[in-house]
Amino acid sequence: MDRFIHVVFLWSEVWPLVIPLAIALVCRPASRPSRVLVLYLVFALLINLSANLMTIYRAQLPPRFQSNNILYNLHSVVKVFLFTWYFRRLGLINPRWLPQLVLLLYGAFALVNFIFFESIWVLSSRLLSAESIVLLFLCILYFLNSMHDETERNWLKHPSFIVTAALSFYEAATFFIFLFYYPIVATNIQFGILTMKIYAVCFIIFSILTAVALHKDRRKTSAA
Amino acid sequence: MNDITYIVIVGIAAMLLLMVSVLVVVIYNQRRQAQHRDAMEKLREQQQNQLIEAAVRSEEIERHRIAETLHDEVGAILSSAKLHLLGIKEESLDEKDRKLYEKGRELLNEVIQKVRGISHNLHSNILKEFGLNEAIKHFVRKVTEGSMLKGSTELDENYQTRNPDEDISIYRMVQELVNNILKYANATQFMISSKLRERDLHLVIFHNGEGLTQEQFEQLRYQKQGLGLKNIQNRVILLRGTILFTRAGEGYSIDIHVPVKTNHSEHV
Repeated sequence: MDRFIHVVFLWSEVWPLVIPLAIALVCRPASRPSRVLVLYLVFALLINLSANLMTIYRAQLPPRFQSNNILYNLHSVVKVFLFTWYFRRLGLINPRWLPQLVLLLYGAFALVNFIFFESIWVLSSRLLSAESIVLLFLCILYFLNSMHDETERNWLKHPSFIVTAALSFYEAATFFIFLFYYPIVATNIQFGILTMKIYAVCFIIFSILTAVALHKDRRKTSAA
Repeated sequence: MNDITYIVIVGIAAMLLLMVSVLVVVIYNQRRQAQHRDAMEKLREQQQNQLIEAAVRSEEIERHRIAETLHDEVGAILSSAKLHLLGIKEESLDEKDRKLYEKGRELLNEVIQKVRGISHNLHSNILKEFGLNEAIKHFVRKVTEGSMLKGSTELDENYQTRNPDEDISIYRMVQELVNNILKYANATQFMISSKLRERDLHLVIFHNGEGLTQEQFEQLRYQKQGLGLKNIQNRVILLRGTILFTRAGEGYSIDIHVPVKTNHSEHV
C-alpha cells in the first residue's frame, strides 16, 4: 500500500492530466476557450512526463540534463501564456487588453529574472510565485466581471466557472508553497515534503475539476 | 515549528479563505441575479396574461353589446317591419305586386333569421342557461343545417360548468375551429368529443378534410390573416391549457386540454 501511494505521488504530475485529456478526446469540447485549455493539458502532460522521466533516468542522462528544473520553469511560462489566452477567449475580462498587458509584464519579469538574477536551470520560486499572482489576478477579475455580465444567464453553470474556481484554489494553495520553497527545504525538510504532497493533491483536484468542466462543455450531438 | 513553516501554513489558510470568500460572494450574487431574472420573467408573463384576459373580456363585452343591440333594436325594427308588411291585404294586389310582396316577405324572414343567428353566435344564451355541452350541440346543429357537412358530438355529460368565463372561452374556440373547418377544410364530416378526466377536460375535434399540422398553426398565428388562430392561442393561454394540431388517420385532429379544478365533494 505504501509502495502504491509512493508511486501515485511520484507520478502525481502526470496521471491526473490523463483524466481531462481522455474526457476531451471522448466528449470533444465545443467552445473555443476549451480548446485552449486542452492545449495547455497536452503541453503540461508532455512537460511533466519529460520531467518525471528525467528524474527516473537521471543517471543515464548527460550532467546538463540531470536536473528537470528547467521544465518546471517552462511549465510555469506555458501555463501563464495559455491561461491568459483562455481568459482572453472567454471575453469576460474588461478591458480586453488587460490579459495581454499582464502577460507582457509576466514575460518581462521572467526575462529580467533569468537574465540578471537566477539561472534557468534552477527551479525559480519567484517565477512560480509570480505565476500564482498573475493567474489569481485573472481569476478574481473573471469572478468580478461574471457578476455584472448579462450575456450568460447563469455563469455558475458555465464550464469556465469550474475551471476558474479550480485554478484559483490551486494557485491560492501553491502560492505560499513556492514563495517559501527554498527556505522550507533548508529549515524543515519534512515539512517541505509535506508541502509537495499538498501541491500534488491540489494538482489532482485541479485536473479532476478541469475534466468535469470539459465534460460539461461537450459537443451536443444530434442523437442527444 | 519554525517561523517559515508557520508563515506558510497561515499563508495557505489565508489564501484559501480569501478564495472561498470570493466564491461565496460570486455565487450569492449570481443566485440573486437569477432570482431577479425569474421574478421579472414571471411578471412579464403575468402582464401578458392580464393583457390577453383584458382583450378577451372586452371582446366578449363587445359581442354581448352587439348581440343585444341586434336583438333589441335591429330585430325589433325588422319584426315591426314584418308586422306592417303582413298588414297589407294580398287580395288587393295585382299579380306583379303580389310577387314583389311575396319576395319582400321572404327576404324579411331571411334577414330576421340571419340577425337572430348572428345575435346567437355573438352571445349564446344556451351557453349561459344550459351549459357548454348543450351550447356545442346546438352550434353543431345550426352549422350543419342545410349543409353537405355532417357533424356529430360525443360530449362527456359529467362535465358541469364551474367557471362560466372558461366555458365561454372553450365555446369560442370550438366555434372558431369549426368555422375554419367549414371555410377551408373541404371536409364532409366532423366530430366533437370531450372527456372529463381528473385534472383536465380533453376536447377533440376531428374532421376528414384538409387541416393544419402543429407547425403550420405556429406559423399562421403570427401572420395577418391568422387573427382567428391568434384568438384561439390567446384563449388557450388564458385557460392555461394546451392545443395540438395533428394529422390523424384519414383526417386531422385538434386536441384541446383545459385544466379543471376537481370538486372533492363530487367524489364523496
